[in-house]
Amino acid sequence: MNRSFYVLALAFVLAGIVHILIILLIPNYATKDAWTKLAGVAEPWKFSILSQPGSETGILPLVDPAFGTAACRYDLNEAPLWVSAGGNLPFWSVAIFDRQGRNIYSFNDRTAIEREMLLIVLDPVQMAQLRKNPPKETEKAVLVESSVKQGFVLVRALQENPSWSAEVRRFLREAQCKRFEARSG
Amino acid sequence: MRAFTELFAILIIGLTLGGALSWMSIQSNHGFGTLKIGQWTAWPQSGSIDADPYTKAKVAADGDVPLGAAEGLAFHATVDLRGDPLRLDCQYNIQGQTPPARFWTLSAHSIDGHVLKTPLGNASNIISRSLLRGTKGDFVVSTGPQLASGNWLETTGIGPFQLIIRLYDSPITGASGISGAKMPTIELVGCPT
Repeated sequence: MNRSFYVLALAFVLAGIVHILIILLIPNYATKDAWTKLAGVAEPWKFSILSQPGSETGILPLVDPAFGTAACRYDLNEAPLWVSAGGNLPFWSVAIFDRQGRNIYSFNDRTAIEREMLLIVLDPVQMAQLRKNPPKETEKAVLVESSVKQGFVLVRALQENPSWSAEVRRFLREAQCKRFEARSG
Repeated sequence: MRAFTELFAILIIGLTLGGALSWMSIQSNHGFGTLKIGQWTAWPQSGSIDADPYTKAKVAADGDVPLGAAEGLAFHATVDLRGDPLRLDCQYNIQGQTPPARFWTLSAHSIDGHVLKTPLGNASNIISRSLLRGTKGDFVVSTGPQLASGNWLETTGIGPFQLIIRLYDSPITGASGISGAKMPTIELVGCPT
């Protein structure tokens, strides 16, 4: 009798270990996480439109139908990331995610400098280099230092009502995601 | 032989129980790091880099891209005031107030997160800026297949669904904003018999 109790106790301990392992490993092995799905449809260093207001493409779940969204994958090992977009929408926001879909940084039109979307993401070494000799075009940029090298940027643009439709499309189409090459001076 | 059977039993029970526990803990209404207000649940840490392991696992398994702290916070509801699951063929009144935000959106989604459509093919959603409100800033939104006066969130079809309120640019995403926050109630009006 004692022995079967012992067996059950061991089984529970194993269940606990299995549970902890699964929870910790899911973010690394999930096959339908945002990054994996983006990698299937989107080129790196280029914004891909994931949803237009009022519809969804099925790439990402739980998108807000009031928003158009676009995403772009980047790799800081190649170069710092430059993201810019222009337009006078009532609301937009931009968020940087790491490979596991964790949010590193986000801001919206009101927290941006002069309500312009201009964002440069750098690793610590690139940031040190930029600080030594900041180029003129970075003056209005939001500079984000990230030690995580790979990730994606997601831009959300609000379509307040259908009359904003063309503006939202233009905003997403013209959003730029590129390698930032700092010119000296 | 007995030792072998016991070992086998340990393995089977351990793996099954461990797996089941993990599955349950990342289902939509379970898990750690949740913020519950009335019928609404949010995961304020879900986008953050220091989220707990359960929230991280849930985000990865859902394939979700959560709203960042400067963007907003999403509240999900799958049950009404009495605790019954929300049904697409029923009428509900969503009324009350939301925590402060620049604006918010209300949308109907399937349980697995897809945007639901009206019979005309539009998304079932409402933006707070076009909302009709009472004199104290309170509001009533009717959801359901039957046309309602005032604010109407049209749904169609049958089966369970979820409502999502997303607060954008809201102080509630900061550390101080969460205590005492109020969310609207979801009250059943009627179902077809």
